[in-house]
Amino acid sequence: MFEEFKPLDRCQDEELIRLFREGVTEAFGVLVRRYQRELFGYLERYLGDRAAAEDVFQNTFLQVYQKLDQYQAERPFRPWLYTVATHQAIDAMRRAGRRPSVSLDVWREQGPNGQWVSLTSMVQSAAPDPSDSLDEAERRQWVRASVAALPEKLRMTLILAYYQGLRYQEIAEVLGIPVGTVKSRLHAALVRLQRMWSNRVGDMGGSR
Amino acid sequence: MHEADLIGYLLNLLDEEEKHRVASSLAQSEQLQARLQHWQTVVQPLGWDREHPSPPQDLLIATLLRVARYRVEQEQASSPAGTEGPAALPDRGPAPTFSLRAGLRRRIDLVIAVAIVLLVTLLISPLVLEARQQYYELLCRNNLRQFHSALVQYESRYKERPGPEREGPLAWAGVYACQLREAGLLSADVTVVCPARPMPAPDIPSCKQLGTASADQLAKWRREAGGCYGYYLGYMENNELRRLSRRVLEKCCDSVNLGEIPVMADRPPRRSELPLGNGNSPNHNQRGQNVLFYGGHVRFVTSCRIGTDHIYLNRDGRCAAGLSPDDAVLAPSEMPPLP
Repeated sequence: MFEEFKPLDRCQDEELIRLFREGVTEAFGVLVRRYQRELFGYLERYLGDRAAAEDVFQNTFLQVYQKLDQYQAERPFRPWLYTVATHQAIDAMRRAGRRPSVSLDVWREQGPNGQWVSLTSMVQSAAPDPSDSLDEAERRQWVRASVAALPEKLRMTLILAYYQGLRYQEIAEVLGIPVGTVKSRLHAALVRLQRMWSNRVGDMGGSR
Repeated sequence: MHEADLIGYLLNLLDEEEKHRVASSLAQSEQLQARLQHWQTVVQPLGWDREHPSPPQDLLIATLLRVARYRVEQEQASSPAGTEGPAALPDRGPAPTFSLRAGLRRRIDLVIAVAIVLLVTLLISPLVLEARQQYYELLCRNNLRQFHSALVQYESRYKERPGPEREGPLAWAGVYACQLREAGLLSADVTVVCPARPMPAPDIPSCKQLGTASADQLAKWRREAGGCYGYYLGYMENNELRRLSRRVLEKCCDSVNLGEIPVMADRPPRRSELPLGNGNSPNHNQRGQNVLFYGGHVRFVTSCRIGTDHIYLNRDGRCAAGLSPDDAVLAPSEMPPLP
Protein backbone atom coordinates (compact mmCIF):
# COMPACT_ATOMS: atom_id res chain seq x y z
CA MET A 1 0.00 0.00 0.00
CA PHE A 2 1.23 3.47 -0.83
CA GLU A 3 0.91 6.14 1.78
CA GLU A 4 -1.65 8.66 0.65
CA PHE A 5 -0.09 11.94 -0.43
CA LYS A 6 -0.90 14.73 1.98
CA PRO A 7 0.23 18.36 1.63
CA LEU A 8 2.71 19.32 4.34
CA ASP A 9 0.50 22.19 5.45
CA ARG A 10 -2.13 19.66 6.52
CA CYS A 11 0.23 17.40 8.43
CA GLN A 12 0.22 17.35 12.22
CA ASP A 13 3.30 18.76 13.94
CA GLU A 14 4.48 15.30 14.92
CA GLU A 15 4.13 14.08 11.34
CA LEU A 16 6.22 17.00 10.13
CA ILE A 17 8.94 16.11 12.59
CA ARG A 18 8.87 12.52 11.43
CA LEU A 19 9.05 13.59 7.79
CA PHE A 20 11.91 15.96 8.51
CA ARG A 21 13.83 13.18 10.21
CA GLU A 22 13.22 11.07 7.14
CA GLY A 23 14.77 13.71 4.92
CA VAL A 24 11.81 15.87 3.87
CA THR A 25 13.73 19.02 4.73
CA GLU A 26 11.03 21.51 3.82
CA ALA A 27 8.87 20.13 6.64
CA PHE A 28 11.00 22.26 8.96
CA GLY A 29 9.99 25.47 7.16
CA VAL A 30 6.34 24.47 7.46
CA LEU A 31 6.75 24.17 11.24
CA VAL A 32 8.42 27.57 11.53
CA ARG A 33 5.72 29.18 9.40
CA ARG A 34 2.97 27.48 11.38
CA TYR A 35 4.24 28.77 14.70
CA GLN A 36 5.62 32.14 13.73
CA ARG A 37 2.57 34.13 14.81
CA GLU A 38 1.66 32.11 17.87
CA LEU A 39 5.13 31.64 19.31
CA PHE A 40 6.31 35.13 18.46
CA GLY A 41 3.19 36.44 20.21
CA TYR A 42 4.06 34.42 23.30
CA LEU A 43 7.64 35.67 23.35
CA GLU A 44 6.71 39.28 22.79
CA ARG A 45 4.14 39.19 25.57
CA TYR A 46 6.59 37.52 27.92
CA LEU A 47 9.71 39.51 27.07
CA GLY A 48 7.95 42.80 26.41
CA ASP A 49 10.48 43.56 23.71
CA ARG A 50 9.92 42.97 20.02
CA ALA A 51 13.56 42.73 19.01
CA ALA A 52 14.35 40.33 21.85
CA ALA A 53 11.31 38.23 20.92
CA GLU A 54 12.55 38.02 17.34
CA ASP A 55 15.99 36.90 18.45
CA VAL A 56 14.64 34.31 20.89
CA PHE A 57 12.20 33.00 18.28
CA GLN A 58 15.08 32.35 15.90
CA ASN A 59 17.17 30.75 18.63
CA THR A 60 14.26 28.56 19.62
CA PHE A 61 14.00 27.00 16.18
CA LEU A 62 17.77 26.69 16.00
CA GLN A 63 17.55 24.73 19.27
CA VAL A 64 14.71 22.64 17.87
CA TYR A 65 16.89 21.85 14.88
CA GLN A 66 19.87 21.00 17.08
CA LYS A 67 17.93 18.93 19.61
CA LEU A 68 15.60 16.99 17.37
CA ASP A 69 17.33 13.79 18.41
CA GLN A 70 16.24 14.49 21.99
CA TYR A 71 12.60 14.91 21.00
CA GLN A 72 10.53 11.82 21.82
CA ALA A 73 8.35 11.05 18.85
CA GLU A 74 5.43 9.77 20.92
CA ARG A 75 5.07 13.05 22.81
CA PRO A 76 3.20 16.10 21.48
CA PHE A 77 5.44 18.65 19.80
CA ARG A 78 3.75 21.86 20.92
CA PRO A 79 4.52 21.69 24.67
CA TRP A 80 8.08 20.66 23.81
CA LEU A 81 8.41 23.70 21.55
CA TYR A 82 7.12 25.95 24.33
CA THR A 83 9.58 24.39 26.76
CA VAL A 84 12.47 25.18 24.43
CA ALA A 85 11.17 28.71 23.80
CA THR A 86 10.64 29.41 27.49
CA HIS A 87 14.15 28.29 28.39
CA GLN A 88 15.54 30.41 25.59
CA ALA A 89 13.57 33.43 26.77
CA ILE A 90 14.75 33.05 30.34
CA ASP A 91 18.37 32.63 29.17
CA ALA A 92 18.11 35.72 26.99
CA MET A 93 16.87 37.74 29.93
CA ARG A 94 19.69 36.49 32.13
CA ARG A 95 22.27 37.33 29.48
CA ALA A 96 20.81 40.80 29.17
CA GLY A 97 21.12 41.11 32.92
CA ARG A 98 17.56 41.96 33.68
CA ARG A 99 14.66 40.12 35.16
CA PRO A 100 12.00 38.87 32.77
CA SER A 101 9.57 41.64 33.26
CA VAL A 102 8.20 44.41 31.18
CA SER A 103 8.77 48.03 31.86
CA LEU A 104 5.45 49.73 31.48
CA ASP A 105 7.26 52.89 30.56
CA VAL A 106 8.67 51.19 27.49
CA TRP A 107 5.24 51.01 25.91
CA ARG A 108 4.20 54.43 24.99
CA GLU A 109 1.00 55.46 23.39
CA GLN A 110 -0.21 58.64 21.89
CA GLY A 111 -2.79 60.20 24.16
CA PRO A 112 -6.05 61.81 23.05
CA ASN A 113 -4.41 65.21 22.61
CA GLY A 114 -1.49 63.82 20.65
CA GLN A 115 0.87 63.88 23.63
CA TRP A 116 2.96 60.79 24.44
CA VAL A 117 2.02 59.09 27.66
CA SER A 118 3.49 56.03 29.31
CA LEU A 119 1.29 53.05 29.96
CA THR A 120 2.07 53.30 33.64
CA SER A 121 0.27 56.59 33.74
CA MET A 122 -2.47 55.19 31.54
CA VAL A 123 -3.10 52.35 33.97
CA GLN A 124 -2.99 54.68 36.94
CA SER A 125 -5.38 57.13 35.41
CA ALA A 126 -7.79 54.76 33.72
CA ALA A 127 -11.42 55.32 34.45
CA PRO A 128 -13.24 52.88 36.79
CA ASP A 129 -14.56 50.84 33.96
CA PRO A 130 -12.08 51.09 31.13
CA SER A 131 -14.66 49.94 28.65
CA ASP A 132 -16.53 53.20 29.26
CA SER A 133 -13.80 55.57 28.27
CA LEU A 134 -11.10 53.81 26.26
CA ASP A 135 -11.11 52.96 22.62
CA GLU A 136 -10.10 49.55 21.37
CA ALA A 137 -6.35 50.20 21.16
CA GLU A 138 -6.30 51.84 24.57
CA ARG A 139 -8.18 48.94 26.11
CA ARG A 140 -5.70 46.53 24.62
CA GLN A 141 -2.75 48.47 26.00
CA TRP A 142 -4.50 48.87 29.34
CA VAL A 143 -4.89 45.09 29.65
CA ARG A 144 -1.34 44.49 28.46
CA ALA A 145 0.02 46.88 31.04
CA SER A 146 -1.97 45.17 33.78
CA VAL A 147 -0.66 41.74 32.82
CA ALA A 148 2.87 43.11 32.56
CA ALA A 149 2.59 44.33 36.14
CA LEU A 150 2.12 40.77 37.45
CA PRO A 151 5.08 38.94 39.04
CA GLU A 152 6.99 36.93 36.46
CA LYS A 153 5.86 33.44 37.46
CA LEU A 154 2.20 34.40 37.60
CA ARG A 155 2.45 36.32 34.35
CA MET A 156 4.06 33.45 32.48
CA THR A 157 1.43 31.00 33.72
CA LEU A 158 -1.37 33.36 32.74
CA ILE A 159 0.08 33.90 29.27
CA LEU A 160 0.51 30.18 28.65
CA ALA A 161 -3.00 29.41 29.90
CA TYR A 162 -5.06 32.25 28.55
CA TYR A 163 -3.26 33.55 25.47
CA GLN A 164 -1.50 30.41 24.27
CA GLY A 165 -4.27 28.01 25.22
CA LEU A 166 -2.08 25.34 26.81
CA ARG A 167 -3.77 22.99 29.27
CA TYR A 168 -2.80 22.69 32.92
CA GLN A 169 -0.86 19.52 32.27
CA GLU A 170 1.01 21.03 29.33
CA ILE A 171 1.91 24.17 31.26
CA ALA A 172 3.25 22.00 34.06
CA GLU A 173 5.49 20.22 31.53
CA VAL A 174 6.67 23.46 29.95
CA LEU A 175 7.55 25.07 33.26
CA GLY A 176 8.73 21.86 34.93
CA ILE A 177 6.46 22.28 37.95
CA PRO A 178 3.59 20.23 39.44
CA VAL A 179 0.09 20.75 38.03
CA GLY A 180 -1.06 21.92 41.46
CA THR A 181 1.47 24.76 41.33
CA VAL A 182 0.23 25.78 37.89
CA LYS A 183 -3.33 25.91 39.21
CA SER A 184 -2.41 27.99 42.24
CA ARG A 185 -0.32 30.38 40.13
CA LEU A 186 -3.10 30.94 37.65
CA HIS A 187 -5.59 31.47 40.44
CA ALA A 188 -3.22 33.93 42.12
CA ALA A 189 -2.69 35.78 38.84
CA LEU A 190 -6.41 36.27 38.31
CA VAL A 191 -6.94 37.32 41.91
CA ARG A 192 -4.20 39.91 41.51
CA LEU A 193 -5.65 41.21 38.27
CA GLN A 194 -9.07 41.41 39.84
CA ARG A 195 -7.61 43.30 42.81
CA MET A 196 -5.61 45.59 40.54
CA TRP A 197 -8.68 46.50 38.56
CA SER A 198 -10.97 46.75 41.61
CA ASN A 199 -8.48 48.95 43.49
CA ARG A 200 -8.40 51.30 40.60
CA VAL A 201 -12.15 51.53 40.71
CA GLY A 202 -11.89 52.14 44.46
CA ASP A 203 -9.19 54.79 44.04
CA MET A 204 -11.17 56.61 41.46
CA GLY A 205 -14.32 56.43 43.55
CA GLY A 206 -12.51 57.75 46.62
CA SER A 207 -11.01 60.67 44.79
CA ARG A 208 -14.31 61.97 43.57
CA MET B 1 -14.44 22.27 44.33
CA HIS B 2 -11.32 24.36 44.06
CA GLU B 3 -11.47 27.68 42.24
CA ALA B 4 -8.67 26.53 39.92
CA ASP B 5 -10.97 23.79 38.60
CA LEU B 6 -13.61 26.37 37.74
CA ILE B 7 -11.00 28.58 36.10
CA GLY B 8 -9.66 25.57 34.25
CA TYR B 9 -13.15 24.72 33.05
CA LEU B 10 -13.75 28.29 31.93
CA LEU B 11 -10.47 28.53 30.01
CA ASN B 12 -10.51 24.95 28.72
CA LEU B 13 -7.40 23.90 30.62
CA LEU B 14 -8.73 20.59 31.96
CA ASP B 15 -8.45 17.13 30.53
CA GLU B 16 -11.65 15.47 29.35
CA GLU B 17 -12.32 13.58 32.55
CA GLU B 18 -11.94 16.67 34.75
CA LYS B 19 -14.07 18.67 32.37
CA HIS B 20 -16.97 16.20 32.68
CA ARG B 21 -16.64 16.15 36.44
CA VAL B 22 -16.80 19.95 36.70
CA ALA B 23 -19.65 20.14 34.20
CA SER B 24 -21.80 17.72 36.17
CA SER B 25 -21.07 19.55 39.43
CA LEU B 26 -22.01 22.85 37.82
CA ALA B 27 -25.30 21.44 36.57
CA GLN B 28 -26.28 20.63 40.16
CA SER B 29 -25.18 23.78 41.97
CA GLU B 30 -26.29 27.35 41.49
CA GLN B 31 -23.60 28.47 43.88
CA LEU B 32 -20.93 26.98 41.61
CA GLN B 33 -22.56 28.64 38.62
CA ALA B 34 -22.36 31.99 40.40
CA ARG B 35 -18.66 31.42 41.10
CA LEU B 36 -18.08 30.52 37.48
CA GLN B 37 -19.87 33.72 36.50
CA HIS B 38 -17.53 35.63 38.81
CA TRP B 39 -14.43 34.26 37.08
CA GLN B 40 -15.94 35.01 33.71
CA THR B 41 -16.20 38.65 34.77
CA VAL B 42 -12.60 38.65 35.99
CA VAL B 43 -11.27 37.12 32.80
CA GLN B 44 -13.39 39.12 30.38
CA PRO B 45 -11.08 42.19 30.02
CA LEU B 46 -8.21 39.92 28.99
CA GLY B 47 -10.14 39.32 25.80
CA TRP B 48 -9.44 42.89 24.73
CA ASP B 49 -5.84 41.90 24.07
CA ARG B 50 -6.48 38.41 22.79
CA GLU B 51 -4.94 38.73 19.37
CA HIS B 52 -1.28 37.78 18.99
CA PRO B 53 1.06 40.62 18.00
CA SER B 54 2.03 40.38 14.33
CA PRO B 55 5.48 38.87 13.75
CA PRO B 56 8.05 40.78 11.69
CA GLN B 57 7.63 40.22 7.98
CA ASP B 58 10.99 38.53 7.54
CA LEU B 59 10.84 36.34 10.65
CA LEU B 60 10.41 33.09 8.73
CA ILE B 61 13.29 33.79 6.36
CA ALA B 62 15.55 35.14 9.11
CA THR B 63 14.89 32.04 11.22
CA LEU B 64 15.64 29.63 8.41
CA LEU B 65 18.77 31.58 7.53
CA ARG B 66 19.97 31.28 11.11
CA VAL B 67 19.43 27.53 11.06
CA ALA B 68 21.08 27.32 7.64
CA ARG B 69 24.09 29.32 8.82
CA TYR B 70 24.48 26.92 11.73
CA ARG B 71 24.33 23.95 9.41
CA VAL B 72 26.90 25.42 7.05
CA GLU B 73 29.21 26.23 9.96
CA GLN B 74 28.85 22.68 11.26
CA GLU B 75 29.75 21.27 7.87
CA GLN B 76 32.74 23.57 7.56
CA ALA B 77 33.94 22.63 11.03
CA SER B 78 33.69 18.93 10.28
CA SER B 79 35.42 19.10 6.88
CA PRO B 80 39.18 18.35 6.92
CA ALA B 81 41.42 21.42 7.19
CA GLY B 82 42.59 22.79 3.88
CA THR B 83 39.91 21.19 1.74
CA GLU B 84 38.46 23.45 -0.87
CA GLY B 85 34.74 22.94 -0.33
CA PRO B 86 32.08 25.15 -1.79
CA ALA B 87 32.01 27.31 1.31
CA ALA B 88 35.59 26.94 2.46
CA LEU B 89 36.85 29.73 4.65
CA PRO B 90 38.79 32.34 2.68
CA ASP B 91 42.55 32.27 2.59
CA ARG B 92 44.45 35.10 4.15
CA GLY B 93 46.38 36.21 1.09
CA PRO B 94 48.06 39.45 0.13
CA ALA B 95 44.71 41.19 -0.40
CA PRO B 96 42.85 39.98 2.67
CA THR B 97 39.84 42.24 2.43
CA PHE B 98 39.01 41.30 -1.11
CA SER B 99 39.43 37.55 -0.61
CA LEU B 100 37.39 37.82 2.56
CA ARG B 101 34.53 39.30 0.59
CA ALA B 102 34.75 36.63 -2.06
CA GLY B 103 34.69 33.95 0.63
CA LEU B 104 31.83 35.67 2.39
CA ARG B 105 29.87 35.73 -0.83
CA ARG B 106 30.34 32.04 -1.50
CA ARG B 107 29.25 31.32 2.01
CA ILE B 108 26.19 33.51 1.72
CA ASP B 109 25.16 31.60 -1.38
CA LEU B 110 25.46 28.29 0.42
CA VAL B 111 23.58 29.51 3.49
CA ILE B 112 20.77 30.77 1.31
CA ALA B 113 20.65 27.51 -0.59
CA VAL B 114 20.31 25.56 2.65
CA ALA B 115 17.64 27.94 3.92
CA ILE B 116 15.64 27.54 0.75
CA VAL B 117 15.84 23.78 1.01
CA LEU B 118 14.44 24.10 4.53
CA LEU B 119 11.60 26.22 3.27
CA VAL B 120 10.03 24.80 0.13
CA THR B 121 10.54 22.37 -2.66
CA LEU B 122 9.77 25.01 -5.25
CA LEU B 123 13.09 26.67 -5.95
CA ILE B 124 11.46 29.61 -7.63
CA SER B 125 13.70 32.54 -8.28
CA PRO B 126 11.68 35.32 -6.57
CA LEU B 127 11.95 33.42 -3.32
CA VAL B 128 15.68 32.93 -3.72
CA LEU B 129 16.06 36.61 -4.47
CA GLU B 130 13.95 37.60 -1.52
CA ALA B 131 15.97 35.41 0.82
CA ARG B 132 19.18 36.82 -0.58
CA GLN B 133 17.99 40.40 -0.18
CA GLN B 134 16.81 39.83 3.34
CA TYR B 135 20.06 38.16 4.26
CA TYR B 136 22.06 41.09 2.86
CA GLU B 137 19.89 43.45 4.86
CA LEU B 138 20.65 41.50 8.01
CA LEU B 139 24.39 41.55 7.29
CA CYS B 140 24.22 45.28 6.59
CA ARG B 141 22.41 45.91 9.89
CA ASN B 142 25.06 43.93 11.75
CA ASN B 143 27.76 45.95 10.02
CA LEU B 144 26.14 49.23 11.08
CA ARG B 145 25.91 47.96 14.65
CA GLN B 146 29.66 47.38 14.56
CA PHE B 147 30.08 50.95 13.38
CA HIS B 148 28.01 52.10 16.35
CA SER B 149 30.51 50.50 18.73
CA ALA B 150 33.39 52.24 16.96
CA LEU B 151 31.57 55.60 16.97
CA VAL B 152 30.76 55.33 20.67
CA GLN B 153 34.38 54.53 21.50
CA TYR B 154 35.51 57.47 19.39
CA GLU B 155 33.13 59.79 21.21
CA SER B 156 34.21 58.59 24.63
CA ARG B 157 37.82 59.31 23.65
CA TYR B 158 37.41 62.62 21.78
CA LYS B 159 34.15 63.87 23.36
CA GLU B 160 32.44 64.09 19.98
CA ARG B 161 31.58 61.86 17.06
CA PRO B 162 33.87 61.88 14.02
CA GLY B 163 32.75 64.12 11.18
CA PRO B 164 33.85 66.47 8.44
CA GLU B 165 35.49 69.81 8.94
CA ARG B 166 34.02 72.97 7.50
CA GLU B 167 36.71 73.30 4.81
CA GLY B 168 40.05 71.84 3.75
CA PRO B 169 41.10 68.25 3.01
CA LEU B 170 38.82 66.85 5.75
CA ALA B 171 35.67 68.60 4.53
CA TRP B 172 33.68 65.62 3.20
CA ALA B 173 31.21 63.16 4.68
CA GLY B 174 33.26 59.98 4.29
CA VAL B 175 36.14 61.33 6.35
CA TYR B 176 34.57 59.56 9.33
CA ALA B 177 36.18 56.33 8.07
CA CYS B 178 39.65 57.97 8.04
CA GLN B 179 39.12 59.33 11.55
CA LEU B 180 37.99 55.93 12.86
CA ARG B 181 40.91 54.26 11.15
CA GLU B 182 43.38 56.75 12.60
CA ALA B 183 41.91 56.13 16.05
CA GLY B 184 42.45 52.38 15.55
CA LEU B 185 38.72 51.71 15.77
CA LEU B 186 38.12 50.14 12.36
CA SER B 187 38.46 46.48 13.20
CA ALA B 188 38.39 43.62 10.73
CA ASP B 189 34.70 43.12 11.56
CA VAL B 190 33.75 46.50 10.18
CA THR B 191 33.63 47.34 6.53
CA VAL B 192 32.46 50.43 4.66
CA VAL B 193 31.18 48.09 1.97
CA CYS B 194 27.52 47.17 2.25
CA PRO B 195 27.16 43.38 1.84
CA ALA B 196 24.39 44.01 -0.69
CA ARG B 197 26.76 45.96 -2.99
CA PRO B 198 29.87 43.85 -3.14
CA MET B 199 32.99 45.66 -4.28
CA PRO B 200 36.64 45.62 -3.29
CA ALA B 201 37.07 47.39 0.03
CA PRO B 202 38.39 50.89 -0.65
CA ASP B 203 41.68 52.22 0.58
CA ILE B 204 41.09 54.31 3.69
CA PRO B 205 43.86 56.86 4.24
CA SER B 206 44.86 58.48 7.51
CA CYS B 207 43.97 62.13 8.10
CA LYS B 208 47.65 62.97 7.79
CA GLN B 209 47.80 61.39 4.32
CA LEU B 210 44.82 63.49 3.30
CA GLY B 211 46.70 66.66 4.21
CA THR B 212 49.56 65.86 1.86
CA ALA B 213 47.67 64.15 -0.99
CA SER B 214 47.65 65.40 -4.58
CA ALA B 215 44.36 66.80 -5.87
CA ASP B 216 43.68 63.66 -7.92
CA GLN B 217 44.44 61.32 -5.06
CA LEU B 218 42.31 63.38 -2.67
CA ALA B 219 39.38 63.32 -5.11
CA LYS B 220 39.64 59.53 -5.36
CA TRP B 221 39.73 59.08 -1.60
CA ARG B 222 36.85 61.50 -1.12
CA ARG B 223 34.69 59.50 -3.43
CA GLU B 224 35.61 56.05 -2.14
CA ALA B 225 36.71 56.07 1.51
CA GLY B 226 33.20 56.46 2.97
CA GLY B 227 32.19 53.36 1.03
CA CYS B 228 28.54 52.47 0.59
CA TYR B 229 27.32 54.44 3.56
CA GLY B 230 26.06 57.94 4.07
CA TYR B 231 27.29 59.72 7.18
CA TYR B 232 26.06 62.60 9.34
CA LEU B 233 27.36 65.83 7.82
CA GLY B 234 27.12 67.92 10.98
CA TYR B 235 24.84 70.86 11.73
CA MET B 236 25.15 74.60 11.78
CA GLU B 237 24.97 76.62 14.96
CA ASN B 238 25.93 80.30 15.17
CA ASN B 239 27.50 79.94 11.76
CA GLU B 240 29.76 77.17 13.06
CA LEU B 241 29.76 73.58 11.85
CA ARG B 242 29.15 71.23 14.79
CA ARG B 243 29.60 67.49 15.17
CA LEU B 244 27.36 65.25 17.20
CA SER B 245 28.15 64.76 20.85
CA ARG B 246 25.99 63.77 23.76
CA ARG B 247 27.24 66.65 25.90
CA VAL B 248 26.22 69.31 23.40
CA LEU B 249 23.04 67.57 22.35
CA GLU B 250 21.76 67.21 25.87
CA LYS B 251 22.06 70.95 26.31
CA CYS B 252 20.30 71.96 23.15
CA CYS B 253 17.81 69.17 22.51
CA ASP B 254 15.13 69.31 25.17
CA SER B 255 12.36 68.09 22.98
CA VAL B 256 14.32 65.70 20.77
CA ASN B 257 14.96 62.11 21.64
CA LEU B 258 18.72 61.94 21.18
CA GLY B 259 18.70 58.22 20.57
CA GLU B 260 16.47 58.75 17.52
CA ILE B 261 18.86 60.98 15.56
CA PRO B 262 20.01 59.13 12.40
CA VAL B 263 23.82 59.07 12.18
CA MET B 264 24.63 56.67 9.37
CA ALA B 265 22.77 54.78 6.65
CA ASP B 266 23.04 53.12 3.30
CA ARG B 267 24.10 55.99 1.09
CA PRO B 268 21.62 57.91 -1.04
CA PRO B 269 21.69 57.69 -4.83
CA ARG B 270 24.15 59.99 -6.57
CA ARG B 271 23.06 62.33 -9.34
CA SER B 272 25.11 60.20 -11.73
CA GLU B 273 22.90 57.24 -10.87
CA LEU B 274 19.79 58.61 -12.52
CA PRO B 275 16.97 57.79 -12.40
CA LEU B 276 16.82 58.52 -8.71
CA GLY B 277 13.53 56.65 -8.38
CA ASN B 278 12.01 57.00 -4.96
CA GLY B 279 15.22 58.49 -3.56
CA ASN B 280 16.01 55.40 -1.52
CA SER B 281 19.53 54.02 -1.39
CA PRO B 282 20.71 51.97 -4.36
CA ASN B 283 22.35 49.48 -1.95
CA HIS B 284 19.16 47.47 -1.48
CA ASN B 285 17.65 48.04 -4.92
CA GLN B 286 15.88 51.15 -3.67
CA ARG B 287 13.56 49.11 -1.48
CA GLY B 288 14.76 51.14 1.49
CA GLN B 289 17.83 51.61 3.64
CA ASN B 290 19.25 50.51 6.94
CA VAL B 291 19.62 53.46 9.27
CA LEU B 292 21.83 53.56 12.36
CA PHE B 293 20.54 55.89 15.07
CA TYR B 294 22.55 57.71 17.72
CA GLY B 295 21.12 55.35 20.35
CA GLY B 296 22.65 52.37 18.57
CA HIS B 297 19.61 50.69 17.07
CA VAL B 298 19.41 49.97 13.36
CA ARG B 299 16.18 49.93 11.38
CA PHE B 300 15.38 49.19 7.77
CA VAL B 301 13.15 52.02 6.60
CA THR B 302 11.36 52.07 3.29
CA SER B 303 11.26 55.85 2.96
CA CYS B 304 13.88 58.59 3.06
CA ARG B 305 11.70 60.38 5.58
CA ILE B 306 11.68 59.42 9.22
CA GLY B 307 8.88 61.42 10.75
CA THR B 308 9.34 64.87 9.28
CA ASP B 309 13.10 64.53 8.75
CA HIS B 310 14.47 63.68 5.32
CA ILE B 311 17.60 61.72 6.16
CA TYR B 312 19.43 62.72 2.99
CA LEU B 313 18.45 66.41 2.83
CA ASN B 314 18.34 69.23 5.33
CA ARG B 315 15.25 71.31 6.04
CA ASP B 316 16.16 73.59 3.14
CA GLY B 317 16.01 70.59 0.84
CA ARG B 318 19.79 70.54 0.29
CA CYS B 319 22.42 67.88 0.79
CA ALA B 320 24.34 70.05 3.24
CA ALA B 321 24.89 70.36 7.00
CA GLY B 322 21.67 70.35 9.00
CA LEU B 323 20.07 73.46 10.43
CA SER B 324 19.85 71.91 13.90
CA PRO B 325 21.18 68.72 15.52
CA ASP B 326 18.05 66.75 14.70
CA ASP B 327 18.07 67.92 11.08
CA ALA B 328 20.21 64.91 10.18
CA VAL B 329 21.74 64.75 6.71
CA LEU B 330 23.46 61.48 5.85
CA ALA B 331 25.56 62.25 2.81
CA PRO B 332 27.59 60.09 0.43
CA SER B 333 31.32 60.05 0.93
CA GLU B 334 32.41 62.93 -1.29
CA MET B 335 29.81 65.48 -0.16
CA PRO B 336 31.12 68.55 1.72
CA PRO B 337 29.09 69.94 4.63
CA LEU B 338 28.91 73.39 3.01
CA PRO B 339 28.71 72.91 -0.78
